[in-house]
Amino acid sequence: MSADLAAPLWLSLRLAGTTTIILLVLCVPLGWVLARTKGRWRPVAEAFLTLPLVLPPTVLGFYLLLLLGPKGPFAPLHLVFSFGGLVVGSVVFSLPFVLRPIQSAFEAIPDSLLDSAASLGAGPWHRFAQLAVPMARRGIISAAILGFSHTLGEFGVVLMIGGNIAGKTRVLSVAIFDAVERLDYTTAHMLSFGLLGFSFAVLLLLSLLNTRRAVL
Amino acid sequence: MELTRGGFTLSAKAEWPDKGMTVIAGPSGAGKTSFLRAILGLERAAGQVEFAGKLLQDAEHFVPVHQRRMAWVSQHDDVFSHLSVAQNLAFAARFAAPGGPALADMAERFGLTPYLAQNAGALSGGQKQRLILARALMSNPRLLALDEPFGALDAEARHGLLDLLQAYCAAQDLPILFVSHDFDTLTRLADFMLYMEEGRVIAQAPLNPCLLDKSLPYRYREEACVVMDALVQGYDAEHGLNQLSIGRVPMVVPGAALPVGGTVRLRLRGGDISLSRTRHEDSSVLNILSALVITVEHANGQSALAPGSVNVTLALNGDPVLVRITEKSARALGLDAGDTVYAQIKASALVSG
Repeated sequence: MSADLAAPLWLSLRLAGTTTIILLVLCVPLGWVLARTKGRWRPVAEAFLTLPLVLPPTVLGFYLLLLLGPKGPFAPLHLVFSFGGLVVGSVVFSLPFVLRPIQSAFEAIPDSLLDSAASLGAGPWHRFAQLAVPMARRGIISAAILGFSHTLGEFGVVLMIGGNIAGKTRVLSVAIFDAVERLDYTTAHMLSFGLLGFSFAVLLLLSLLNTRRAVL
Repeated sequence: MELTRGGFTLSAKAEWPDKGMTVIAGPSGAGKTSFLRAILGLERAAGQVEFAGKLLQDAEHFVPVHQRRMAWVSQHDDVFSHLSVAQNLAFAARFAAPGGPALADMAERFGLTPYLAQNAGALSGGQKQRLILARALMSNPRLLALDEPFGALDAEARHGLLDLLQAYCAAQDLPILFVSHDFDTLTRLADFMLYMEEGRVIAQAPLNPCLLDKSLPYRYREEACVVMDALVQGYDAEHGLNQLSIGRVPMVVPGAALPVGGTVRLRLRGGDISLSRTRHEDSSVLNILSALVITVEHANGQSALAPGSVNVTLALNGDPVLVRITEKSARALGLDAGDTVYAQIKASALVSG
């Protein structure tokens, strides 16, 4: 494989991996809190956290660029046109895809079960770590796979924040766009087909996982 | 305590003994479950909760549920299905105060030993119920709170489990608070009762006074009864009769031999007692006792007593016993308070619990 193909692929995998880990660390507690609170602000929080699902990636990218850019509040972090900036953008962009399945999995755990555990002496941390997380493990795995593959395929946010710097911010999807622009259809084909195959494999895995749950 | 949930207000004040079984009864929607959950701290009610001389909550303090040592068994199937049976029990044991029961003993007692390694989610309904109860006891609680947990079981399985539970709790001096509207469970096991209606506790008393209370439905039910503790004196093997005594009053009950010297609970159903002015020696009824009539309550259309029925209260060994007869018989006998009558108590109607 030429460096032309390998570099964007490696960058994409690194970005998706980092993003997924950060999202899991964020969304497992966040999903738990959202699933267990009935406060008045919950719908507001949910709507806000679901925004990346419906907004055009360019809108998200534009606002992130303003926030992270030289005149934005986060300018000292120098995130624009860097890998760090890509990670921030991807985390925001893929958040609903990771949060939703985790929250649903937590919501499926009956209140009475957690109340019973509390009455047996299990405090909030034990109820979360020893009951809720293991019981929601399939939802968490699904969420990780969805987040990873969604990050692999993103384009608009990455282009807005990261630009198109070879070896630094030129991820797979940007490389494909680039190749098509150059009329280099062979490279575009190889990258596109690779992504297609990978995405199918991921969805197949997810589906197999869900079937197994139904059998159990 | 006070608690408001979507238009429903619980405003309850009650005191009950911290031993034996206290049943919280009342019609559906009376707030029994909410009341129980508020006592446990699962709902944050305004007001004060004290248990065994310790303040659990008031305006400033709130001991959270996991520090109250009150094990809750709900109406739902709350096994931890991602864990094995043994792990379910061990989960509760982890948080138990020192001196709790041993896992193997508890498993044996509830017939769970063969399933210890099995996934808890794969158990049958009855096995799950046993596991949930055993798990609650493994947490070494100071109070066992049951919220109608045996709805899915048939009567025989329910009785078996309740007897097991009661024997254990009596031996451990562990009080039980039991939400139930099952009359059979109530009369078999309750020592004390809280009766709720529309979010308020309208009666709190030992079982018999509640069964006889004119503001509660029990004395007007077809199966109206009182319960009495009887001492087992001996067994007449030839006739298959247990010889018991309620105080100084002798009583015979047919059936398998009961342990001599033990105490059994007898249920005296009002419909299984008949009255006469003279002693009928030729009757098929074995227990014929002379008793004093305390009150005679006629159906008047205001109480829930069925038309044509009369509730007669007798004194048996000084305790009131309810007898249900017809208006016609009451007139024929000319019954009035202060009369002395003969009560024929059908021995077969006395059940041990």
